[in-house]
Amino acid sequence: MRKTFVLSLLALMLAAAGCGKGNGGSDASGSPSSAPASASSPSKPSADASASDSASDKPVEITAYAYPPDKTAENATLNARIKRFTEKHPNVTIKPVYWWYENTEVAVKMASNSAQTEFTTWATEAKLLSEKKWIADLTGYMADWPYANDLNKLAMQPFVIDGKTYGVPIDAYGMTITINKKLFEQKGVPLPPLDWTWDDLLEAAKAVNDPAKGIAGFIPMGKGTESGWNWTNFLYSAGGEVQSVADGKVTATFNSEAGLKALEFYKKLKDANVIPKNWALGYGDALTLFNQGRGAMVMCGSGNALDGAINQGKISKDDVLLYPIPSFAKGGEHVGVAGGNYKVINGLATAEQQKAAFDFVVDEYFTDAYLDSIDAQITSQNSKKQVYVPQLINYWNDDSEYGRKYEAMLAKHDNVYKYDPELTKLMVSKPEATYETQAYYAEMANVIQKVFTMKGDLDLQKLLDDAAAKVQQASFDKVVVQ
Amino acid sequence: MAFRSLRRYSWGLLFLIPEIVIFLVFLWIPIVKGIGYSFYKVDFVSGNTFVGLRNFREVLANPDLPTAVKNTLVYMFWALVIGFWIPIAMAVSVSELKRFQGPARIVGYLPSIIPAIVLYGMWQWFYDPVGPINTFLNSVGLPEFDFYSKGHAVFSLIIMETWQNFGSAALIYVAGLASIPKDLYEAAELDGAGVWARIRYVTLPGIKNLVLLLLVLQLIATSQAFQSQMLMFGGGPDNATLTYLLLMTREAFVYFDFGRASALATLMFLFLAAISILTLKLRRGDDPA
Repeated sequence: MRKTFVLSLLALMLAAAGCGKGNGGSDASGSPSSAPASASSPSKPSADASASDSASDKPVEITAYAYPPDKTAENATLNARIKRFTEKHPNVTIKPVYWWYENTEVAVKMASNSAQTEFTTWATEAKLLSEKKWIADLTGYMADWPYANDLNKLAMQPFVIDGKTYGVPIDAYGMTITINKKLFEQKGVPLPPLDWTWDDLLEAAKAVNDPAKGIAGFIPMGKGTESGWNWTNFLYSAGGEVQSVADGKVTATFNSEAGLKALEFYKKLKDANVIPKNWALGYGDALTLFNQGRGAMVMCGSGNALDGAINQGKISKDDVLLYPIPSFAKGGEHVGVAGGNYKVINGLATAEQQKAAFDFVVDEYFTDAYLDSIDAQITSQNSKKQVYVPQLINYWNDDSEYGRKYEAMLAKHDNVYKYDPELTKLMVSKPEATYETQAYYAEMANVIQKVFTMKGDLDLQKLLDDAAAKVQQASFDKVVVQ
Repeated sequence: MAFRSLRRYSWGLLFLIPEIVIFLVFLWIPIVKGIGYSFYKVDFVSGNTFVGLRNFREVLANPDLPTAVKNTLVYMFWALVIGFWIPIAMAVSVSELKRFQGPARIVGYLPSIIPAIVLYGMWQWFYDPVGPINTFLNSVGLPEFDFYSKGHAVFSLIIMETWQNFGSAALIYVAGLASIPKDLYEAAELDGAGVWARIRYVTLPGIKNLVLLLLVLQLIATSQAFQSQMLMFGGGPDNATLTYLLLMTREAFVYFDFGRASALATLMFLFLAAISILTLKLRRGDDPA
């Protein structure tokens, strides 16, 4: 009796789990669903999605990607944009919903189908989200959109996968190093040249470093996957690659000579005592430390550290500077990891919702209304004594007519951060690795932590080789290259 | 007969319904589904695929698993050694106070009401090289203490968590102490028992069952530790604070492999169920017939 009960319970568990699939999923045997898209099931992401009749008057409800409640200027801009769109499309109802994309939360949002119909994500997420079909294939919609060819090709790159487009760029960036100029001035340290090298960074960090006051010369991230992401800039700068893809196989290559140089540089930073003793700094921790004036240099996407330092840390915009990732040797390239923000459409939404969301996302692209809304936002920020930090790379081409109109609009305001024009000439932005990037970052976090916390001599090559072997076996060997 | 019993307990059963619903939705169904997911490749959009024992084979072959198990056991052990006796000592001390028992309880409980986000920020500052602890050490001529090193990280976490949690456990002990008959203390005093003798022969035996219960609860809680390990150290340095549950969290939310994460959860569930059954059997054996 008891045995029968246990067996029945086990069968029930297996059946329950098998049934717990996403909307419109397959049966427990894993065969794909043939059910057509309906009001309650996700549309099939396909290139012919644009064929659906989005222009019909059938009522459609979608949710839009809202800002946190304290970002009143940004939310006001969004609400005004929703109003303008719904006046043109009275059949569409748009509800702003606040959830900011987090890679640790997206799976739960998808499992519960509670992510917005259109949401913003990062360049790093393109492969993952498209592979899992959590975002829709926009190729068909893009084909019908007259401005698709005017988009900045560099910015588009991460979300064009196997010839299909999965996202619309908002802005893009390359990794940079943000410098607190005031700390340099306080210690009488001259600023390094913009065309700087690893040695220049190390010397500057040593000179401006003040451990007694808790001021670090340089703040690398050491906690979480972001530590591997930070280190990859030095890997790229030394000419290295994370992985190679050949004959359908992904091979770890970050344990190369370039990888060793990059890790040796981290060891030099540690040995010179120019990094915070608290190595456990994630993205937010590192930027907070910088905003508090407890670090002279921090590495992150261009503009992001600036925005926090100026608008939250209340550091004057004249006291923060942006530098490219230093070159390995004088005259070398300043290669940094590329990134950016993208609009994507929820793969679980219905075809009608997806079309309405795409129309909403691109509604004001390349229009004066978009420029006017940014203009209003800058004015609003000015009234709050805030500074608008534009991104280095936008969805349009800077030399286009639209790009010039944007520059003219920015020029009207005093509260806009102005980049050194030489910066973009020096920067070379390189996309992140394509496969199992998070697994690689997570493993590199352990290596970096060893370098930051262990005393004495370390066999850095062995650390890299061990990490490469582990990532290879645990992740890269399982990749099926399409 | 059954119907008469049902009628007899109908009101009681009615009051149980909300609890049953809550437990069903938030506990029992997730447990059952979690066990089921461990046999599947989980895909929320395309549907799940049955993979048999593959998830279990993969998690057992993961080189981080022994590290996570070891770290969890080390954490459980030191949390017991460092933290378990503090609420008992606090409760006994408070109960021995002739005055200010109320304020003492409030002061002891205060750390428990601090939100986690504030707690981590506060202790990050305490442990900072220029924070209050190291500033004090420097001021008395002692060297700086590295709370973030591989050898110290786990103790830094235990100190922080003991500080935050001892108040709520102490309150439970205080309630337990209040239930010890006063005449036992009076009899002990008449027999000439001092404070230590009263604690040794009256107080501690009086809360023995409570101590055992809180011991099991602490073991279960510390075996599931991951929040402070993740937020303070991200499992580092070099996996020194990577606990079993943090490994599970990584599988689910860094690698998005919910099948492997569920397999880890199932193994954990079986282990904890075995411990609970063992404890229950031991306690039954201990009970007077």
